[in-house]
Amino acid sequence: MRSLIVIAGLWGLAGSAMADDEFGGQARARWEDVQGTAPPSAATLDTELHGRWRALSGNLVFTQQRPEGGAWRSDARVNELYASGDALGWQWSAGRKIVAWDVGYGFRPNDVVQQEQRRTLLPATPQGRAVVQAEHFDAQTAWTLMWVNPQRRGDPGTGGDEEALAARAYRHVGAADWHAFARAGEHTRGSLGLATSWVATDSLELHASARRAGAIDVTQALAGSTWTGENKLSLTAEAWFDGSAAPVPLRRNVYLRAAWDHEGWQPVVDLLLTPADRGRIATAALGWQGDRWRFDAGVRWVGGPDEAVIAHSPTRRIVYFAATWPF
Amino acid sequence: MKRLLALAGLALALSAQAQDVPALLKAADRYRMSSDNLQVDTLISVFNSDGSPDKERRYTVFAQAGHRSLVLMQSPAEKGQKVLMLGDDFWLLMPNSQRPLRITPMQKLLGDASTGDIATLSWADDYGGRVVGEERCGDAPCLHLSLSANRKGVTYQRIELWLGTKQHEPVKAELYVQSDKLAKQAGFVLDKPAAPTEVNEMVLRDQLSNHKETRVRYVSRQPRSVPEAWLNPMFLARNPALD
Repeated sequence: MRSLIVIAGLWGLAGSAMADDEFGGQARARWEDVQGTAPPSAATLDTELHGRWRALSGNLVFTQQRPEGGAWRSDARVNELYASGDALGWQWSAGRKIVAWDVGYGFRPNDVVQQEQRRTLLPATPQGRAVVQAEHFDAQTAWTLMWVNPQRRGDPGTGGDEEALAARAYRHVGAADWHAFARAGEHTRGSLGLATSWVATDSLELHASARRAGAIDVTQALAGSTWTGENKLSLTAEAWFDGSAAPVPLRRNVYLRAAWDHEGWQPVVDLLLTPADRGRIATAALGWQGDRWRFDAGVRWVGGPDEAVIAHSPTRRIVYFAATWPF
Repeated sequence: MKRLLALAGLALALSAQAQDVPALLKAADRYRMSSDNLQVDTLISVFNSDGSPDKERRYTVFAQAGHRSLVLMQSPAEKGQKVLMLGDDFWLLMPNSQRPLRITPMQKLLGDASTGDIATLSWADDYGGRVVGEERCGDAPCLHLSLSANRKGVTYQRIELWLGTKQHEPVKAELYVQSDKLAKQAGFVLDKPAAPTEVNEMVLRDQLSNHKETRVRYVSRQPRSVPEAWLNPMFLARNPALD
């Protein structure tokens, strides 16, 4: 019942905001054929709405899905619903909000408030966290202080679900962006992190991110680079170490991606490798952006030798097709 | 002796013209950038090489003094995307993401009408060069200027520019990328050809790949200074109302 009231409220918010041109969204139909034991092949229709009215902002997704051999089922999810405003020279926000801080593509150790799904087949809006946030900006710097999951005080939640305090400092220094992070979780205790993104030449961007949680003895680090040529070809390479990954072979990873932008067509291939056991996930995709419609199709293979951890994941192959109509 | 005097006169004239390049560019800039801080609403229409319409895009540009620009994408297919340009530093902000992406000058060129074409409304601060001479542009006389970028973050490293001889309005240009390949040819459509006051439209013909024609129409221009915080990528990542 509570979720129905929230959804009705958000629809009202969207309708009111439409008059101010602060309302929008997209509808996406997608079909996935999965080889393996999970998840099931399915046809899905997602309708995403986002709007702003006075101090309130919201993002809502309705999902209708029909798994292969099953019946249609519906779901609704509030990704964001928060109030924001200015006071005492700071910007304040409270409510459910998406928070993304780190600089990497395949892995983001300093997304210490919420970890969104990475390397998704299609862009997806994550569900935000409950936060109370204060931010201050000037021309070169930004400060963010955040109380995460305040409603879970005393709950035994861990990781992203626990109550925590988090802070970020940002400074733009010439061709580089610098970020410093701190987080104190009720159970996971303290961690500190640093990240940078540096445009080294007209074509080359370099980025790195590292985080250390001393109390639970976890280190995570990533280094990567993107090169883009005049012919609109982009190449990305990243390597990272994730000390929190439970199967040891998954701790060291290499990620390679090539994308080309030509006449509205965007072919992309990427490859994730775990060198310790030679596990791999490969993706080939093709996107087309028209005046309004966007179409995406692709295939992802999961594999490697028998001893590879990834090779035993429930999904072996996914073929997908999607059509997206923004409004 | 006469020949010597003529050569000396020509050298003096060329020297005077070379010194005039900054003034000529400032005069030409007035036709697109009528104020140091400006809000410009722009309509981009892309046509295929056979003349059939391909796509339309709407942008709002906040062009601010000191090589600072913020481009807001307004069309449904791109709504919510923003590109921030501070001198030679660029960021891309995608809707529903709080992660500003630091992009290279080369990534700024992606897309049919690059954000550089849309946001760059002046030459005087970014280019220097020389007057090649007087030439004909159709029926009218033109001044031909050969310009080189004096900073690395500009979209085009070399520009061959033709201005009207009397009022110094921009007439046409050839735009060269870093590798010195001709990327686009530009033509400028003025409001009143006899007594021009502003550029209504810039027509870009791609010479590098698809030979499409992109028409950049300046729908409205108004003086506008935006708050400093709007030019901070982390502020923009909050997806604030910018109006």
